[in-house]
This record gives sequence, structure tokens and C-alpha cells, in this order.
Amino acid sequence: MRKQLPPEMLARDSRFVRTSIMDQILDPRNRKISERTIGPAKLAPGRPASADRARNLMHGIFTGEIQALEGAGRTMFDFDETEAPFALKLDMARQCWDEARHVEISIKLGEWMGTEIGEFTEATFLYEAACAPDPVLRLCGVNRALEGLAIDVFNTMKEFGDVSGDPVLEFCEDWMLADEVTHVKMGSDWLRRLTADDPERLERALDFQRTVDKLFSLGGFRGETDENPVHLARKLREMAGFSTTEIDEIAELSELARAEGKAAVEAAGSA
Amino acid sequence: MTIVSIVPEQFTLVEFDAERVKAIAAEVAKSVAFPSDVDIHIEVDEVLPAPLNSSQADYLEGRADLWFTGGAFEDTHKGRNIDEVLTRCGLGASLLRVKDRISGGFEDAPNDSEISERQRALWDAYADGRLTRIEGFVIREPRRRYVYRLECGFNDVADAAYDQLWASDATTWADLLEIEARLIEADPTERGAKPSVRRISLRQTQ
Repeated sequence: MRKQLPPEMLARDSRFVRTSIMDQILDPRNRKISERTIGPAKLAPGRPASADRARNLMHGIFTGEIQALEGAGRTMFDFDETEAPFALKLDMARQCWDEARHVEISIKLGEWMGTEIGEFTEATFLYEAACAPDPVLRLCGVNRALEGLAIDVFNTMKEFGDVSGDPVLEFCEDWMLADEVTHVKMGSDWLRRLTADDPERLERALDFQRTVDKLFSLGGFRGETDENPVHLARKLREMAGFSTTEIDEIAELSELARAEGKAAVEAAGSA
Repeated sequence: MTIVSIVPEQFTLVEFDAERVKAIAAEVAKSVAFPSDVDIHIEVDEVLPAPLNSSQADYLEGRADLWFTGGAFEDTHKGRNIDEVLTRCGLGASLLRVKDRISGGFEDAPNDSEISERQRALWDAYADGRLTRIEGFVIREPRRRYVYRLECGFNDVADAAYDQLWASDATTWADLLEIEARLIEADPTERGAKPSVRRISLRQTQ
């Protein structure tokens, strides 16, 4: 079986339709929307079209879970035991078990919210963060950045369920959220262990994580203001082992990503 | 003979064909037995994409006045392109609601910009339920149910009302207000009015 599987080779059936971030950035409507005041972007039941926005995000969670499963699975398979110790692979196997369960929960939640598999498109940027050739970078990309994003998204959806009175959504998101906290912690622990005698490798990994965290902020998708649909879950990130400094840094990266996203939209509009 | 008009006459931000939308509206009007002596005016705000889906359907100055975000007609697989199945359903539900306003027991209902989200959810369930019984419309019932529950509550009283509306062919605005009162009794959670993307949009573009 091939090692280092590229995103275009991921197995999907005919229900799934791929999209690229570039298509979304170059959409000519973006600039016009930014000229409108359509209220805070934060996902909340009291916002316009909140049901369809929540359904769309839930489908994104579903495809994200598939990619997290694939990322953890590849880390288990792509490296020999000199590169990735057996105990790390065992943790990745446990994570795969969790992610597979999350995929199933996400499918059920999608059905509950009236969404069909493949109703919305799939972007593979999450999996792309899991394609680094160094397992330490993978841990940073998948367990700390991707799973960290999952904490923020799940917490936002849990709040949405709570405020809207949807007991199923709130309950399911809370359970998945608990798993994500352990996945981030697992990544942080292994990062420390594998780089204990190699500060340069640690710095490379943290640099990679900064890049991925900025990418995952998706031009303002995540942040700490009402302009961000998904909010940084500070308390839960602290439980997962992120320091306050690290969380502050992600908040700054998110703000930077928002500003750069806005500039890209304006540049695309004037081109 | 119904005359269908549309704004904009040419779309510039999305790949919608205005003539095709008008043709679909004319077909749908026949399918839902919309009065042939009432003209239809459609406005599509092409700036607002899916999933920012929203619509309004009023009877103003003797014509059907329909407003949609572009997202309400948009193909979720191929952004900026039209999904004709979705477009048919959106137009069908809106025309049924205007028909309700003309002579279907909703003559005294306020305009869409003035009704509550809960009232709108109840009326949409009534409209979509009828559409499923007309040939040529593919309604995603689970989506409608979820939108409804978000506005009307996740409880047995709300679910029973939904089933009642879905199966009904003769509900009135007075019936709908009576149902709304039952729902509020079952779930008194205050659901504030959502800002209208249409109202804000118009103010911004003027």
C-alpha cells in the first residue's frame, strides 16, 4: 500500500464533491458582501438563515471527521517504529476509533438537521495538514491545529444547540468535544516526548503549527469577535494543554488571517 | 395571462439566466394553480450566497411580490450556478403563500417583513406540505422540519403542530395564530426577531 497518500487519492464515493479554497476566495460576491452590513457573523440561532448555516457547518464537521480519521490512520501507517514509536501508533489507533465514531455521530446529526451526505461540498485542507513527512509535524498539524479547530467548532455548535433548545445537538457535540480535548493533549504530550532532545525539531514543528493555525482561521472564520462565525474556546483549549500564550498567539494569527482574507477579497475584486 | 418580471434582468455575479428563472416561475404558477390574472414580480439579491437562504412572498398592489437571496436558488455543489429543483420549490412555496394571501384564508396576514420567525416557520410547513402533494416538486422534508423546530421548539407539542400543518390543505391565518399560542404555552422561550437581510440590503444599496 502506498505511503504518503496525497489528498486527491482519498477514497470517496459519488456523493462527495470537492471544492477548493481558491474558488471561494475568488467568488466575485465576496467583495459585495463585505460592503453590506448583514450583522454579526457569529453562528447563533438568532442570526438570519441560522438553520442552513448550521447545517452547512455540520456537514463540514462530518467531512472534517473523515479527514481526521484518515490523517491519524496515515500517521500510524506511514512511519516505521524508528520514526514513530509503537506507543504513538497505538495512540493514533485509539484516535482513529474516536474519529470513526465521530463520523457516525456526524452522519446521524446531519440526518437530524435534515442534511444528506454530500449535500455540501468538501474541502480537503484539513487532510493536507496531515501530509507532512515528519511525524512530529503531523502531530502539530493534526492533533494540535486540526483538533484544536475541532474544539472551537464543536464548542460553537454545542452553544448553538444549547441556545436553540436542541438537546440532541448539544449532547452529541459535548461528547465529541470531550474526545477532541484528549486528542489535542495526546498531540502535545507526544510533541514534548519526541523533541525532548531536539529543540530545532520542536521549533520547526511549532512553526508548522502556526502556519496551519493561520490557514485554519480561514480568513476570519475563527476568532474572538462577532465578526467570526466560530469562536476560540479558550477554557477548553487550556484543558487540552494549550498555554495562555499559545492561545493568544492563535487569536493573533486568526486576526491576521481575517485581515489578509479581506485584502485578498479586495484584490480579487479589483483585478 | 400571468406576466412574470424579474430583477435583475441580467445577473452579473452569479451564472443565473433571468429568462430561465422567469420560465420556471411561469411553469410553477401553473402547477400550483396560481391565479392567471395576477402578475408575478421576482427580485433576486444575487450578492447573498448559500447558505444565507432567505425569501419573502407578499401580495402588493395586485401582484405577487417575491424576493429571494441568490442562495435560495444556488446549487450547493457548484457555487454561483442555479439549482432548478431548488428554484422550483422556492418559487412554488412562495406562490402558494401569495395565493393564501389573495383568497386562501390569509387575507389579513401581515406582510412577510412583519410576521415573526415562528409564524413564518408554521406557514412554511403548511406550504411545503402542500407542495409535496403536487407533482414536480422535490421537497426535503427533514430540512423543513429542522428549520421549523429551531423556530417553534424541540418538543412534542411543536412536532404535533408540524404534522398537522404538513398534512393540511386548508389552514387559515387565524388557525396559524391559534397554533402559535399553543406553541408558546409549550415553550415560552423568547425568540427575538432576526434581522432581515433584505431590509438591511436595501438600505445599504440605496
